Amino acid sequence: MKKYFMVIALLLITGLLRLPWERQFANQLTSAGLLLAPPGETLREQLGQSATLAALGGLRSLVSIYMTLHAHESWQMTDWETVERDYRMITTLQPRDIDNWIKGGWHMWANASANIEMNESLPKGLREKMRQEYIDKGIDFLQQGIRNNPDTAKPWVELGFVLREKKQDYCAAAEVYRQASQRPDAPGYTIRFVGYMLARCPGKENEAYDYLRKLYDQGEKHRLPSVIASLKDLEKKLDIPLIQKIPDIHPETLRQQRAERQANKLPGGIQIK
Amino acid sequence: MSSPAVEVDNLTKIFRLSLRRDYLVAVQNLSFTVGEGEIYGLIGPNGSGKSTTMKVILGLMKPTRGTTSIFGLDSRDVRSRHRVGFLPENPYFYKHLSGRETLYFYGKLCGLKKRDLKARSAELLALVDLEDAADRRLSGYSKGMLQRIGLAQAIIQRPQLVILDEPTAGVDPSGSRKIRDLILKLKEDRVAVILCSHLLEQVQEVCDRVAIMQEGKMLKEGALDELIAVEDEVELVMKNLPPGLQSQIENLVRDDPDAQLVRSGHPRTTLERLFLSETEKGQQGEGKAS
Amino acid sequence: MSAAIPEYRPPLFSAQRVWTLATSTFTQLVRMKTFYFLAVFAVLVIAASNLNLLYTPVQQLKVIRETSLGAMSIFSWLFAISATAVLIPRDLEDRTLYTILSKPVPRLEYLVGKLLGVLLVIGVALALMYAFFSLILFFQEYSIISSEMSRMSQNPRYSLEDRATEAALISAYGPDLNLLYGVLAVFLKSAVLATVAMLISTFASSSLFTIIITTVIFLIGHFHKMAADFWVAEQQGALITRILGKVLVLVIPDFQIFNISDSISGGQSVAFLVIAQMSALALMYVIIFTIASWFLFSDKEF
Ligand SMILES: Nc1ncnc2c1ncn2[C@@H]1O[C@H](COP(=O)(O)OP(=O)(O)O)[C@@H](O)[C@H]1O
Ligand SMILES: [Mg+2]
Repeated sequence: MKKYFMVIALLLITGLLRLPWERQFANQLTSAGLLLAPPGETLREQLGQSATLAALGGLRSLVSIYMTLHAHESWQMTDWETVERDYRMITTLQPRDIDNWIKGGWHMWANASANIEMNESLPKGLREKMRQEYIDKGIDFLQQGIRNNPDTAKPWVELGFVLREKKQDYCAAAEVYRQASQRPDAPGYTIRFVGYMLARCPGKENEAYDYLRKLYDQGEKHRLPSVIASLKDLEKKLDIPLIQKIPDIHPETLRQQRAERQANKLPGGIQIK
Repeated sequence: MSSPAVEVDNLTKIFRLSLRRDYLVAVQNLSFTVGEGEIYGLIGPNGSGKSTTMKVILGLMKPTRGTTSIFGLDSRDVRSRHRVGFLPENPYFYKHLSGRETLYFYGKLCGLKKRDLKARSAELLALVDLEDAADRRLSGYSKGMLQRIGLAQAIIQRPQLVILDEPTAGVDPSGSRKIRDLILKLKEDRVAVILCSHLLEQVQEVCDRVAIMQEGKMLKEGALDELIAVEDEVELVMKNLPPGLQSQIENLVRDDPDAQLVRSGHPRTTLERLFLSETEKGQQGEGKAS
Repeated sequence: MSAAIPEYRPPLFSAQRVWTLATSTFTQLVRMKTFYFLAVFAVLVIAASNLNLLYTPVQQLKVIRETSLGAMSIFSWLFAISATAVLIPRDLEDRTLYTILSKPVPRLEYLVGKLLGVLLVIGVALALMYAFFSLILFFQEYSIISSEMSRMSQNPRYSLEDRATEAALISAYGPDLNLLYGVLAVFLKSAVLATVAMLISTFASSSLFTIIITTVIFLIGHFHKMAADFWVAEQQGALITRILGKVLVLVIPDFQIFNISDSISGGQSVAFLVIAQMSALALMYVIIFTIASWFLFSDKEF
């Protein structure tokens, strides 16, 4: 019996000595992004007991792989509510994994919205309303992804595409591409897309012209057919004096470039497999 | 001056049986000494405290009172175990090891160097007659083979004292004869041996001195010859007696005024007789006390 | 002959004896076919590398890292608890312990040897698993980058710079030193866990008891921070629960601290200093709990 008390005393005393170090080290790990805060209450409710324990035990990744499989199944059964719920959990478990945010958003704005549109059992007006709602959900995923991963261009690029193609909101898309182009991992084309979007944003034609012209003047690097075509359009719209206009390109070159452009159906460089 | 191989001084061992205040006195005020090179037999019925005494000597248990020592070193000092080998009752070893690996394992625990170990293991495997089975895993060993490999591991570091607890329990007669021969071999090498057994014949065959234990106490101790010799009696053991000769002899004895026939019949092991009479006496004493 | 021997003073702690006990434990566990788990692991990793849930190239690599590190964690926890919980009671039941402790083996050496043996198995198993999945990851990285590059090169939209950036992004998830650190963190956590199991098994009445109690401690050890925030900082609740909470926080190790492999499989990098500090912390736990085990074990009677 005496020995047991001695052991407990030993553990208590060493515990007192090690606790400050332990705490400080844990904080250091958290601020280095190596430890995540324990799952919050709502997530714990959604995950259920065993998955919460696994997530606490350092198996967040495994839980989220399982949830991804689950979401994949639900997607094939077009159970969009489950897909959304699964991705909300996955992104909560691994908020720093930007691909999860993008994938969750994509399920919403692309798959769910298109699927609802085809649902003949719903009245047309309601279908359109729900379609918009799913697109907005997709945008919400992307915006939250951006908030959790401010340093990467990926969600910005994706968001730009959604705003452009699904919302036709070119003014907002221009700002989003601008944000994207300022990130270190931005694809080279984002810088030009700012100009294209401005050109399609009513009232921003002047700004668009100045922007694209500046790119054009930087030399061959940016003198792509789309840049030239956009500039030509704007020159016409804004009545730019002949002397300031950029030189024409040969019709044959133009045709060739059109054909090339058509080969890449999806603008924005988004690869959808 | 050299210390005796084992010295047990006034040893008492009490077990607390449960959380309630319930005690069992396994060994009570036990004292004995085993000299260098002596073969000492400890006999007693099951539960008389033999194994408990051995465990205290080996430091596996702490004495409640009293002390035990090996070659002058207290049993609680781990170094006292350098010069002792132990074969426990019904031993099991690591089943996943082969006979040779088992000897290597225990040899290394005794600090033997790799080179000595190889030669020593081969020597011991030959001694205990397990050369053919040396590289088989112990999971396939018979009871007798396990006892023999156990004996080999006990003497791997050439100890001057070997403690054997029921070495022949569950072993067939030829196997137990082999073990007896090994003990005699140890005797030749002047290794002290403590042999706990209830197989009296065996104890009688090899031991120099014997102690009889019952219920944790020593009933009798002494040199084997002294213990079992009865000065005023003569025993005739005869073979192929023709019919009638026995009654003739009996008549001769009856006719003598002093001589007396104590018993006749088939011979019994003398130690066994002593053992039975002593433990019966002890039992009666206990019965009165309680 | 007998006169020379009393002067012999053997060392009180011998690394050679500890190593003998450790390697014997290692052999015992290996011959119990523990390493069959490696085959299961290999199947898992290969399955994970063929899992395609519309993953991006980076995600394809990430899922291999996550599955591998996750499976490694589970293996080493289960193994640390069950092997440690079973080994010492089994020696006692088989009376093998009598023959070992009746050799000049101090009880501390026996404990350290057993623990070291268990850790050796975990270490070797983790090393093999790490080697295997790094290899798979390496080949996957190579094939993903080459297919991605050939696809991008067919598309004039992508500049050379775009392609180089994408290749760099993908190869950030290939095999690297960070993964090794992640595996080391998994090892450290199981080492602490095994030592806790050893402490419990020195007074437990059965292996099952040890396994259950160690598992409970392991779980509580993950709520450490929550518990610490709740019980230690806040002055609410009954006095007895507050005291109990404080005692638990002080006595039970914080297992959550070692959970960095999740972030590492997600691509976070780790400074060497962090790993060094974590190793020091784990070593401290192991030493404290070994001393505690020795305290209890040295008094034990067999
Ligand atoms: N660890 C123990 N706890 C409680 N009682 C024990 C323990 N070991 C032995 N005993 C008891 O002590 C007595 C002596 O046992 P033991 O020394 O094994 O006798 P022997 O070896 O002579 O048969 C027995 O009654 C036995 O039940
Ligand atoms: Mg016995």
